[in-house]
Amino acid sequence: MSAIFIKTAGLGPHAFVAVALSKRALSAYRLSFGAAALAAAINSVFGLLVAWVLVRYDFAGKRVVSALVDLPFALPTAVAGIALTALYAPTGWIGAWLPVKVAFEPLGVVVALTFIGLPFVVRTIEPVLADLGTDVEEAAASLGAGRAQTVVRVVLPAILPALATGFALAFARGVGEYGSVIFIAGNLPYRSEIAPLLIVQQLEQYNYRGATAIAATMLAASFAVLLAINLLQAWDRRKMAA
Amino acid sequence: MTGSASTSEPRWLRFVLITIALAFLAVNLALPLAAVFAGALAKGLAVYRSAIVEPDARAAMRLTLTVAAIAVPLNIVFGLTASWAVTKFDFPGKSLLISLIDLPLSVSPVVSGLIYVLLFGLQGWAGPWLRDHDIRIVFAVPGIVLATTFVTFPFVARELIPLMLEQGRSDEEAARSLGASGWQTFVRVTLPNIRWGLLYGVLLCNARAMGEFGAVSVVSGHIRGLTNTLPLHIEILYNEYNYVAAFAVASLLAGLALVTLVAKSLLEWRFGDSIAGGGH
Amino acid sequence: MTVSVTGLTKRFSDHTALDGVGLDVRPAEFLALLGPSGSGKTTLLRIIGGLDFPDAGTVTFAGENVAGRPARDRRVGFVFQNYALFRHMRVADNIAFGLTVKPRRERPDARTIAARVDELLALVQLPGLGRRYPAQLSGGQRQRVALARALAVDPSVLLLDEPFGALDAKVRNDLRRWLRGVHETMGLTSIFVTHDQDEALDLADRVAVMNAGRIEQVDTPDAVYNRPATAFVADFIGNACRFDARLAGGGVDVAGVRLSNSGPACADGPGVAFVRPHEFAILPAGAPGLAATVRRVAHTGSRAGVECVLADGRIVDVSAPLDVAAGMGDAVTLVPTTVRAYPA
Repeated sequence: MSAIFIKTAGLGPHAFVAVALSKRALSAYRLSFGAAALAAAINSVFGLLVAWVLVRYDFAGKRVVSALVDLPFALPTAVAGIALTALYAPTGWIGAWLPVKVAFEPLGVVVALTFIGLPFVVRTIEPVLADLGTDVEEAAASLGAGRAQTVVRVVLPAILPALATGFALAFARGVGEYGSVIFIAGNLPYRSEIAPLLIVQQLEQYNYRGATAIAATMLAASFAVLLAINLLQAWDRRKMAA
Repeated sequence: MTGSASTSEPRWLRFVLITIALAFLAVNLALPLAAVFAGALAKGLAVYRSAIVEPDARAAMRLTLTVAAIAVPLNIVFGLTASWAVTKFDFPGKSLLISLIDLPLSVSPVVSGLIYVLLFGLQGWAGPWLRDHDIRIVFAVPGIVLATTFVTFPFVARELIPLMLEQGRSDEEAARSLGASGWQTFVRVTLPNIRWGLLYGVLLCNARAMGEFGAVSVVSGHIRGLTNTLPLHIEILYNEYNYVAAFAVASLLAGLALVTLVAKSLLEWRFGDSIAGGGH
Repeated sequence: MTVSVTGLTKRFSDHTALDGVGLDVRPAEFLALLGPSGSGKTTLLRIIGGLDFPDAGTVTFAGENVAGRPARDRRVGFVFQNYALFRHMRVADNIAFGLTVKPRRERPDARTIAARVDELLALVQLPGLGRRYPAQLSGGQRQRVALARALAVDPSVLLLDEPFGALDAKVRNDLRRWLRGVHETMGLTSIFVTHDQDEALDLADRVAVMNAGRIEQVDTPDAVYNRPATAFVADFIGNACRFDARLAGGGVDVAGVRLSNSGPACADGPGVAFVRPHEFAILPAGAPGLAATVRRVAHTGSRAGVECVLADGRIVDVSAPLDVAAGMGDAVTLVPTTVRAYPA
């Protein structure tokens, strides 16, 4: 890991800026971080819903559904990539029905990262939701709160730290994701090219320094996210742990 | 767990929520999985079969199995050692070690691969020495094994650490007080306590080892028949517009994913308590 | 306010939790629901509170049927076994919760709410702790916050599920006295569930003893202890020794000794008899009664505990005056002085 930073340090500030902060690199970061954030946001909403349904309701096939949630953990990213591309291509099962083009566009990146990130959110929220128990909700009801008030004022705040952690995990994974994205993204410079792909391209041209510079920038960003997660959890523990 | 009468939503709302959740999962997860098998069988079974038995595909399969056969046992050893050290002893730098264990999960796999190129590549630190001794790591099988091992390192340890923390040290202390040696304590007390959690971690580790793409892509050099794993082979076929063959090979990995999921669910169902502490 | 239930039946998938329960709780009464675990006491409390709904039967508050009304519309204060405090809210916000969720028209303004919270914090003897989080409080303090939260909405009934269950013995005793005091100040109809008979007998105006989904007896602590209505109550309350017996002509034969029956009148036939530790006389061996051997004598406090072994191997604890003339290994005869017998 330190090799990355040492190599980067050997680059000199001008060369570093020229590669890591080039216009093309900046638009790649923008896409990687932006799409990852959007996908993590989508997953926060649906992941919360899925976790809620899995923890709170009984329905036929629940065990199968629960197993399916882990599919993105188990399915190789390249497989996911070509499958999503086939689905969202203009002639695909889903693409044919959509009014906008998804595959080979930035939107395709969001689709792939939504696929990848879902289990991070669901599996982070699930245990907290199960642990929350129904007695606090009963307490709220006996104090006169309606169901909506109970959910908004009692349930959501209690799982908010888990939701934020799930968001951050999905986001961090999305920023670095490569395999599932490159097939569906179209990889047009300045438009649908993600940062990890830029690293691979630099490597293919044997420009190790350029690759390293971009990697260092991404690593710094990943560490920042990790730090945020840890601070968030520490803050939450300090406040609420017994 | 289902809520009592006073804390459950009305039946219609429950139905709506379940429907939305299932629809999302169907579109986002089930459809892509179905698309793999549909794509693989698009031109019939014969084409599917020939795509799988084709020599390059078989070479890729062999390499993937080889890599997993090295990386997974290595990570069982590393994972056990790390979790044992972290949960049964106190030592300086322990919290740093715990953070380091998770590192490969939060770093882009492409960056992970890049690290090995920087260390062992021709222009890398160890590059000249390796070249002089005629050892190839990058763009060769050892590099693929190293990168895969790095990327899959957290899975075993992450499964075991919470489990072993929860179980505490008292069993081990009891065994030691009865005169068991460190090794006897580990084999006869610790290991039986964590075996299902270990299996669970191994399953996830294996799935990732066989499916890793980004890191392996960077270090492999994509030499057909030599340094191509199954996921890389899929990419090559796909980029050659040989979609049916790409999906056929992909269906093998998708099948592996399904087996992993089924085994994982069975473990959770049968031994839920002894693999608790999970979460990813 | 009077709380009445009649014919309450509640079945869960695998067992019947309540089997035709009827109970009247008087205004301002402090009533204990006492029974072993699984006897249905918590289910009964939850149905009164509107957290569960019965399969059959009625629940009335001051004559008004509320059986179909959910918890939020019942104006009950419910204190949960593990307090169910909102962990993410400060103590003051926990207490204010019931007021802040009222419909806008009925909701007091912020200052009124703050004043009410301070008042309640003073009542539960936690002034100045409003800004803490529940995790920063001790078990006893959390318990009192839970009570303050329940009282904030001016409930007409206070329901407490094992209010002292999660506390250690010392705290438990202090809180018991204090809760009784609060009850007397507020004058609320209060019902609490417990499996601890000391707690029920010490605290309640009346005790309802439950067993297997039915109420066996509702009476004052004294009556429940000294005049148990059924064999279950006699066995469950206090520490009683059980014997097979014969009921005949208003009396009872236990181990060949004929005694008068202090239990309720019942028909002749086979029966069971219960004798409490202090209701034995220890006589020299050979007298008519239960032959026994003294195994241990412990002089603790104001009475002596004499552990005796009967001929059939059963162990009987006898509570005797400190000057009891029995030593370890002595052969003695135990004669019950008071016997409560019930048909078998």
